Amino acid sequence: MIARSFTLPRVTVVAITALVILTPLSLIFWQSFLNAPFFNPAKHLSFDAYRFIFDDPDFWQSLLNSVVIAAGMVLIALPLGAALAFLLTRTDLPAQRAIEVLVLIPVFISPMVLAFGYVVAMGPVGFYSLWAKGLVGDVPWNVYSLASIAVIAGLTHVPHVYLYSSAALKSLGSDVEEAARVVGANPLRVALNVSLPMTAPALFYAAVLVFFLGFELFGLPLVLGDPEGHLVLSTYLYKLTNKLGTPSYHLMAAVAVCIVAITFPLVLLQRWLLKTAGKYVSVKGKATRQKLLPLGGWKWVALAIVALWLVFTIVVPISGIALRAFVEQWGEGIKLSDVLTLENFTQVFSQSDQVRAIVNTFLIGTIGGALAVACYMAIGLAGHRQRGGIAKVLDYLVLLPRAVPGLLAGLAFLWIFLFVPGLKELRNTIFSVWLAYTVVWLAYGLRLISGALLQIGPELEESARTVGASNAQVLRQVTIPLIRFGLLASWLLVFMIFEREYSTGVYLLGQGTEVIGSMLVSLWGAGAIDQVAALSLINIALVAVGLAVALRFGVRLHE
Amino acid sequence: MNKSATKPETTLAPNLATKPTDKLVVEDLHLQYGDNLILKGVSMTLNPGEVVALLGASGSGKTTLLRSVAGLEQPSRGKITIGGSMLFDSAAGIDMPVEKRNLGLVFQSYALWPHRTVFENVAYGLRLRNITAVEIDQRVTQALNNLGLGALAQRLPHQLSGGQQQRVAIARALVYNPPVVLMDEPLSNLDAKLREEARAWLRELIVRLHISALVVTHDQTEAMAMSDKILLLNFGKIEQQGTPEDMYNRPQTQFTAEFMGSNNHLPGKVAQVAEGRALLAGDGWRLWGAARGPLAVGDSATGVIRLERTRIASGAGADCVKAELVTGMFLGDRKENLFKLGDLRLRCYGSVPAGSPECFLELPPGDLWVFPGNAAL
Repeated sequence: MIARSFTLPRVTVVAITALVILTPLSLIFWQSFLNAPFFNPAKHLSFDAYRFIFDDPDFWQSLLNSVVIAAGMVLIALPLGAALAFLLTRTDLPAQRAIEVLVLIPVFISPMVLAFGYVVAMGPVGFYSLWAKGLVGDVPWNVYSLASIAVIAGLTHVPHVYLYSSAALKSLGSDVEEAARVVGANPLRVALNVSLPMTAPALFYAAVLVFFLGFELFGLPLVLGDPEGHLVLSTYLYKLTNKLGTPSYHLMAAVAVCIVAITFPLVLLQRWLLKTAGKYVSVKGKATRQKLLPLGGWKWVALAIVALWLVFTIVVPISGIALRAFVEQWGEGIKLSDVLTLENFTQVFSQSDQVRAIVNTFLIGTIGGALAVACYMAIGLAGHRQRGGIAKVLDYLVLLPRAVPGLLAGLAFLWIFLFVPGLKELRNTIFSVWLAYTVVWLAYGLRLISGALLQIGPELEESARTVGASNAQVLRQVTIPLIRFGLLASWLLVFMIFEREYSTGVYLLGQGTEVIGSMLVSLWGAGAIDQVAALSLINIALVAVGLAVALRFGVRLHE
Repeated sequence: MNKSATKPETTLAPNLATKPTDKLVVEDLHLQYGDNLILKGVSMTLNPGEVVALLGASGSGKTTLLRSVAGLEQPSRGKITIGGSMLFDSAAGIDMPVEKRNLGLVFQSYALWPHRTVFENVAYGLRLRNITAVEIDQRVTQALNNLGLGALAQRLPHQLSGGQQQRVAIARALVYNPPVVLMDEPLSNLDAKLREEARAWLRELIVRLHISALVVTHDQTEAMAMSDKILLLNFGKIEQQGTPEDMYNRPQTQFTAEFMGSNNHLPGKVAQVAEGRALLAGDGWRLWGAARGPLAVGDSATGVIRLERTRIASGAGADCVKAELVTGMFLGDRKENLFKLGDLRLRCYGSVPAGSPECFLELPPGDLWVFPGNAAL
């Protein structure tokens, strides 16, 4: 069914989408070619900003660090994620269902929280470090080194690789594997000669994705890179203000453009890979019941490795935070039972800005999440069953925010709210943060919605048209009711994502716009460790509630 | 898909494969998924050089039987042997891994590896057998030429038509000379028109290369055309087995009669029994037929006759019923007529004398099978 393309509602939706995406982006772009902040009357076009950052050795060091970390993440996450996917989809590894849920937890915990967790658990005086020191006499690791950052980032991005490769393995028909068995290949050869090459496009896609996420990294390098002064592009941008002492918007914009210049091609590459991957596997097998590969005694080895990974990425940081939230101080020679306290939470709840942050975070996840899903649905429906013009425009539009890290999007929205007449009044309301969140997560939200829309056979809508329903009636009475569950699931997922988000709110943080994520960044900068621990734990609890509800309703935790 | 797809461009070289000498024997095979019994004791034999068709509706267990022979399913009881080698024996705890069984299997979906060229798809089985590159090249080329695929060796599967993919799948299963080739619905993925040509081509290939094959199909015409022997499966049990002629002309059960062809049905009561014949009586008709199964006077029974054995008679006669013409359907090569006899509907081929709404239909006693019961299968 091809509905008429240029109806008023559809054009309105597309126009608004274009406006909220393109305005902040063009503002950043324009600002980067000015010699002063854009509201300064003395500004004029120049390459000063680029000249400055290209002359700054710190910039090149950050770029190098970003590349090293991103590459390290790929090297670590790719083999582990692929192996995990193989173990969970093709073998008789014990406790599969539990692992499948646990694997996704790192995706839903704020990287800021995770990073903080590693500091308090494994930093020089972390809980586990001191315990290890008691055992071997020295702390055998240093979480503040560049290599550690790459390892931690790599291990926490294993789920991303796992998701894509397990999806590819699941959609791989068992017949092509059986065919290889029949002509004489043993299970290992089947894995190496058939399964692996056939899922290679998905693996390559996941590798590009992880590399791309490496450039977006902010919380981890901000917290872990600080003590030894390791900067990456996003933290370099964040620290520019400190460096010069004055808000140097043009320099920040120039760095932002540099980051997007790297990430946007990566996004385009991902999109192209996704398309060719579908074409490549054009001969689809028929899915029959899969005979699981028996691991024999190896299954305990495999289980131990998976468990070790889960302990490192989930148990260590979260237990660290949980402990730190309930002690007044921590260091060498301190006995845990002497310092246990609830003081940290009392402090958080006695400060109005932190209470506001908690309330706002909750509201932005629940009400804001619902509103965001409504927006995503409007955009999804505008492109639903559309070919040509409108669909193409939407397709490329939503790619743009994907390439812009949350930190930059927040910065751009700050400028918009500060200087666009009529929006100033909204600057100090949570609306500004919500709008930025919604735009930053647009691509993710739309994938959820289009996933739900894809489930509807076109003939269900076509038959409604033939019995006499108008396009609008089909939408209201057939399409939307059919994706009800999908919308609910999207709401839950968006809730968790909004709870965990931190970087987008950093520049928007002000009185009235506090959210836990940006509050953590700010408190961390101020050295208020106690409150960071307490707020982190509250943040984890909020995500956990969302996760529990999602699991209760059987929501698939990935698209 | 072009029509020439299934027509090999080269003629088949006779007797390329070594003549098979191994016999496939399946004994009392049982298989279940949980409480769901799929195979309930199936035994069969496939002699060297023979083609056996496993025929049945979906859910009859035919594909499961084939996959059990291949080793892709695990039976709970029974025995499978080929020649001297034991593939499966539940009593002895033997279950030879799939890759060691050395069988050829043509999948319904063809299951070609999309990342390998046609040549590499076919060569893979030989590479796994550590055959020298020179010999691989020679044997694959020969196999491809045999199947009329010589020019397509460097293509990728998605660049081929459905018919060509099917032939690659067959070449891949034949190239290492397995003692038995298993084919799972080999023609069902082809267009209806193409299927008939492919059927003749496949039969020719099997005969020329002296292949022993076990073929699964749900289409009785396909089974009859391609095989020397048919095994009709019904819910995990063998309903009847025999040559295609046997199965079509001498069905022992109504199920077989129904499955193998198109029939008219006449439910009635047995009025008389004599020397293997039974007189069946219904509302306004009485007909003699061949008794199939135990029948006594007064029993409910169903008369079954093939459509093509039901004839339009020129006038009243002993084995005739008078029926009213409802409508005629032109099928191209012939005409099918629908008649009404009380509540019954009878169909037959041929031309109806013009101008007469009523007709006499002849149902010869030798062609009318009388089965016990009134079950409409």
